Amino acid sequence: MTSTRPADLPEFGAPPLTEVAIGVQFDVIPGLSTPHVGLIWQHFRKAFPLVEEQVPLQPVFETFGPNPMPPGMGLQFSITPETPRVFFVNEARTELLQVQKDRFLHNWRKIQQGDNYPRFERMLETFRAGFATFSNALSSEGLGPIIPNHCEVTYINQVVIPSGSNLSDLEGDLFGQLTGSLALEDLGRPEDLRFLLRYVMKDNEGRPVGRLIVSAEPARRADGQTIVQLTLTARGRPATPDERGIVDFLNKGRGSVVRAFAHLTGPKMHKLWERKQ
Amino acid sequence: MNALALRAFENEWYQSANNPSELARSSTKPVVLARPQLSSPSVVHRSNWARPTIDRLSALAPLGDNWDQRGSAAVRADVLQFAWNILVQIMPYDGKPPVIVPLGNGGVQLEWSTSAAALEIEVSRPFEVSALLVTEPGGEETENELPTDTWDRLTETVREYFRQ
Repeated sequence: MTSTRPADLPEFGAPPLTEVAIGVQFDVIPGLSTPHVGLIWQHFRKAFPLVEEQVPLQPVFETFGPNPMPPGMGLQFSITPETPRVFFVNEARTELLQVQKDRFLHNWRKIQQGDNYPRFERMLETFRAGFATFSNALSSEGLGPIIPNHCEVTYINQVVIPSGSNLSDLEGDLFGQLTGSLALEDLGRPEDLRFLLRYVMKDNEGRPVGRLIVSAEPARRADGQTIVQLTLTARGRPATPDERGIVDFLNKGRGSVVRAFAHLTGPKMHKLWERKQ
Repeated sequence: MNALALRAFENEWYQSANNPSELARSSTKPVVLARPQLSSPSVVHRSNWARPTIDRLSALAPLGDNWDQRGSAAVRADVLQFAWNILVQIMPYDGKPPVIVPLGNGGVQLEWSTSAAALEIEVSRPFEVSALLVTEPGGEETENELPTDTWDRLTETVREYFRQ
């Protein structure tokens, strides 16, 4: 099953992407410990020869009700030491797989100018092949099965302020069609802005299954360059707890992310990013 | 356990919905975000149910396989986290703490009861949730399964029947 790009999806020749992550969260696999992660790495070592240990990600559950989940309210109830999150990284450091006791993720990231986004379809193929290898490796150790409960697609864009311009001008070009009315009579346009939008994703029966979350905020890169970071995340439950369900959600989430990006950003930036349709 | 989170929970009941924490999280170099410093609301509300509930969930976490000498599965950490996720969203600050009992399949059941109604929420796995409300209108016992694709009905039910 090879994924193809939907013909009606907006497309950009030079998007401001700096990172894309796709992946799955599943029920915690009992018995999965740090030595197992080392054994699993052997299956990936050829393509991903570098490793990094990271702090584990906490579970994320998109749920729905009249009250939002307050931030920072997640608690940990595990009594055993946490199995770390481990990055398997390629030689160029542009692609990685993330493994922990309830996650399998694939990231692409822009390390330097000239690193080109490999496109979603290729990332999905890398994810699917890696997930199959991961599942088989777990099975051969007597662990599993994997029961997926959440999927996620995240696109991170970093838009640099052009020389001779400022943050307010850039944000006007990015979101001006949405925020033009924010100018005050006595103070004019805002110096800068940040926002967070949440949209509910629904299944074919109209039941809520996930969210598209869009955030924009001014930031400063490690090299000192001021930017606007625009992050779009689609995450939620797969329709079925299997690989087909994961792939379907990732494709749907990618569509929502790309359409939202095209809708929320302005035509001047689209020209700069070489929008094709 | 997680004292910082508990303190934040008890002192700042009303929080914004800005909770975009990512499932995947960026792996590129972090950016320094220019966050403005704004005053926090001066009115705070203390919840009555959070502390005893966290204590109970924490007490269940160590239960391993065969904890009841009858072959029951260990209580799953992700189930405890999901149950907490539900409670945080459905409980009013003056809600009655639920009775929480472990199940044989690694899940937990959350229970409330008064003379007017009883509510049981069974959490077997993350997103595998069922809920049963028993009421006695006119003296006749009535059982209703409540929908769990959203927490709307659960929230209404707890507010209606199970406040201190």
